[in-house]
Amino acid sequence: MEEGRQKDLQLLEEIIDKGLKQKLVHATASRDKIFEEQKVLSDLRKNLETLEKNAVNSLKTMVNLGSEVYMQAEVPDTRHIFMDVGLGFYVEFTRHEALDYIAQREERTKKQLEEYTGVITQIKGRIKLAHYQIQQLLNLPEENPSSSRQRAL
Amino acid sequence: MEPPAKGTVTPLASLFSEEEARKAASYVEEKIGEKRVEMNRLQQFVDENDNLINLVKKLPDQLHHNVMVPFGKMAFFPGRLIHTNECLVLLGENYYTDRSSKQTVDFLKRRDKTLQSQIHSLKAEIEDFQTEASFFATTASEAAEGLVEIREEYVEEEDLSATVFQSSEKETSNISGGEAEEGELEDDDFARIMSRLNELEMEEEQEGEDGGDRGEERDSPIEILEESQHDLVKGIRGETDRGRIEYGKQETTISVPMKASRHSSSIREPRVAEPRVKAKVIQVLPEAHPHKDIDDQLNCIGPMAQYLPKGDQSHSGTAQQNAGTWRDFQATAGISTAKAKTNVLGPQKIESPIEKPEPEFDSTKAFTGSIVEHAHIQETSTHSDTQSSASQPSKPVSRFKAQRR
Repeated sequence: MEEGRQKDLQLLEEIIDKGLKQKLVHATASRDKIFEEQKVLSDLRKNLETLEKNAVNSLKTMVNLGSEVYMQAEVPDTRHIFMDVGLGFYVEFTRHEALDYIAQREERTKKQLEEYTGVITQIKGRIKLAHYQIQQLLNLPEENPSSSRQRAL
Repeated sequence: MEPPAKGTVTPLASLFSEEEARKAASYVEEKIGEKRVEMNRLQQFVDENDNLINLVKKLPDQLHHNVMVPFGKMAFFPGRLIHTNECLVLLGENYYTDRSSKQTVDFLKRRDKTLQSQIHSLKAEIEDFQTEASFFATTASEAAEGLVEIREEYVEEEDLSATVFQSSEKETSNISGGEAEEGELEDDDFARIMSRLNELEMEEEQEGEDGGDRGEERDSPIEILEESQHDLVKGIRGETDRGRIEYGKQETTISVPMKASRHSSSIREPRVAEPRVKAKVIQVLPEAHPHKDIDDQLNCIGPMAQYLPKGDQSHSGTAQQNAGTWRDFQATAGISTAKAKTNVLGPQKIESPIEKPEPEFDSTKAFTGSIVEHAHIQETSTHSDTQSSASQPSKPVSRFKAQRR
């Protein structure tokens, strides 16, 4: 009886530490990536909208050569823009087409985000369940301090 | 010798368990890994920097370059770089400055230098850790092999200590004699002085065995010094008469008797301590003794170097009237005064004795130096009177000053 309980405890701890927590780390990392993508997309959309609004057809900008060294650059024609569509492919869009594409892309990232958030909450729920099972195995006295800790958190 | 075992035997494994040593080694290895990662990162920076230097160097070759101008991270415009000789460089803390491409290259080279120094220090750190790790590993393997550490207290016996002392004394005297490696005449002088010293020491041993008081002891070395002084001056005088005029020679030849006289005083010090601590004598003599001799030599040679040029100065000051003999006398007088000082001061362990010669001289004269001073000055001043009218017999240093005028 006692041995079986010890084994169960060990198994649960292993599941939490080696399985669930690592999954959680991975999931949060990929969600952060998508957040970043979303931010880039929204910035690009805003910039393109301002260009459109002001009817700018040429602009000057600074290009980062690396290590925070910049050089002036000139864009003679802003009506056409090359966009990264993934896997190293760039597609030439007009500004309107680019805006449409960005909108679609944003929607997709939103969906991905929701997906990842779901996965993360699932992992968190599993971790909590495992904790609860550990508490059950260690009987009631252990339950009280941990529940109070949860309240404190 | 006592037959029962005196030492302790500790197996190395009990001091450092093999497991612990291995753990420590692995811990250090981990640290090395971290440092390696850091170094790779820095190396990457260096590579980037090199690429950028090449790029910035190449850019002003043409008036403009066609490039894809990034617009955000995901979009590009076809465009071109203009003003290829102008760069905006981040200095840090959000301060930017406009630089020409040449200036930028210089800036990047300076940055490269700092990166290189960082890499260098990291390499040194890694090396340090590696030696540490290897040390731990060897300790672990030694512990595993069952290496033992044997310690034994060194207890000296009575009669043995005396013989050891005697022999070591002879040894040291031999050593200093060998060190000298000068002409045979000096060796003769030296041997004579040493034999005289030994005699005096024997007498002293018979007289006051356990008295050991510093005050009592203090007088006797000076007597000996006095003796040796006489001998020395005579010896030197003989030398000069024989016509060794060169200064460099003089310096070396004189350093021999000085060593001898210094030697006498340095022997004396452990002798005073002997009745109290037996074991200490044994330790002190073979190890600390030659060392001390070297120190004393340094102390002696220092003032000599100071004094010889002075003699030279005075020599040039009175250049018209002097001859080779006069010059010799100056050298000997200067050196012997210097010697007198160091000898008198030696037993009291005053560091750097001749920086302010006059006050120190007076203070030591008050209780120890008087005999030496007196004898010495009479010795020298009688000679100096024959040759220089400006000498003041009371103080050798002031006499020097007078000569310099």
